[in-house]
Amino acid sequence: MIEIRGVSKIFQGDKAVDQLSLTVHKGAIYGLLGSNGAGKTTLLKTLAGIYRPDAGTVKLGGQPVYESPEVKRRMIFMPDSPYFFPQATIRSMAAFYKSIYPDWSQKRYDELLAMFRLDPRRKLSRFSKGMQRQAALLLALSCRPEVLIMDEPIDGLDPVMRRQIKNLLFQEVAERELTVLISSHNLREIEDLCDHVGIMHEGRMLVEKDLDDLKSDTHKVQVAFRDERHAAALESILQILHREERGSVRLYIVKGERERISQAFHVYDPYVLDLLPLTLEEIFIYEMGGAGYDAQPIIL
Amino acid sequence: MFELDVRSRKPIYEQLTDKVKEMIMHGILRADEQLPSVRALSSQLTVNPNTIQKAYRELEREGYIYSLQGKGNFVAAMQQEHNESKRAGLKTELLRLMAEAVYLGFTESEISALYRQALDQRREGNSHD
Repeated sequence: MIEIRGVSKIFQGDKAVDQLSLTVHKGAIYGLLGSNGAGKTTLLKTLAGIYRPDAGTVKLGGQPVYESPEVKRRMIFMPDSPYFFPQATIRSMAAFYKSIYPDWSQKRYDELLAMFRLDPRRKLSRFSKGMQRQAALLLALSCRPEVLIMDEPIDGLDPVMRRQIKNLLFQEVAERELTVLISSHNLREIEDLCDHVGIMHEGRMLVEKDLDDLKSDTHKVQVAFRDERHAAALESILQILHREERGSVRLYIVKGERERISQAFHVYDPYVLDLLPLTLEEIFIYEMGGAGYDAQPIIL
Repeated sequence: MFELDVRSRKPIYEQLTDKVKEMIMHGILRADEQLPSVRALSSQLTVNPNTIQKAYRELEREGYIYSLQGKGNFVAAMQQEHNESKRAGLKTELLRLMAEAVYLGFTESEISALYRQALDQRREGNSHD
């Protein structure tokens, strides 16, 4: 559905996005992660057709996005802080969106309004941050887009609303194969929400994968060997991303299939062997560490 | 009907497949019984529908369920073959646990009591639904 091929975007000599490629299939929920200043927002704005890519192509359903109103009608971009016209109410914004998006559904709008319990006649500037987000999502979903792009959408929402919104997105995905692209720093949320993730750093894509594959591909192993020499033998045959020693217990982050790793360790019949899947946060930190971006133990 | 642990490290789709397998093996889900639709389960559990779809596909590939075009997913009748590979794996696992039990001083009668307990549980599961 979304095809980004070799896209670069340069601001005053700085490459915000550097030769990046990305594919999102129809009906997928894709989570875009990255360090601060990795270029996520620039990428999303390029995808939304707000920026013109300096190199490469951005296509939606096979059509280039930039300066193409027909293509843009099929997608909605929700920026990190919702924007409404001065003095606008939900009702007046709805009238505006309706005039632009031909697939606007009045029925959906009424349903969502009832669900979010927002007053359509109240000025949006008087809403709280979280309510403004709800209003923005309400308007976006009423447009019945094929693609929904959200920059940091979860900020400022309470847990009940988050769950509600998740359910709403899942429903749209299950019923009409809405494609969703989300950028966020909240890894817990991404983990529950997305089926595919991409991790960006310094304008490039470090990893891009099915979330479950990513998780089942990397394991955390806690092991206490019977003999110190066993460690060296194992370390030479496994792909180890990270190692730590805590007394007689060793901690490894190993890439590879669970079965294979488990067998390799079992050969030495260690005292203790624990094999755990990684959380997305751990994957993020180790991948970033591999790219030379890790948390330094700094004391100031 | 399912409870998932979203805080667990285990991927959701794996939790789902394990849960369904467990329910089939304990006779809570019977052959030809319909599983909840992807859509219904997604909103019930607040889980990505693609993840549920994937879990169902995996279960179908392993022969636990079958799908009918436009009708949904159903529990397959237990087959001897996929039991065979399962049994082999279970045997090694049991042996490992048994070694631990022996080490901790379990007696033969304690272990056979556990076997009987599992047997009773399965019978109960069958008589319930």
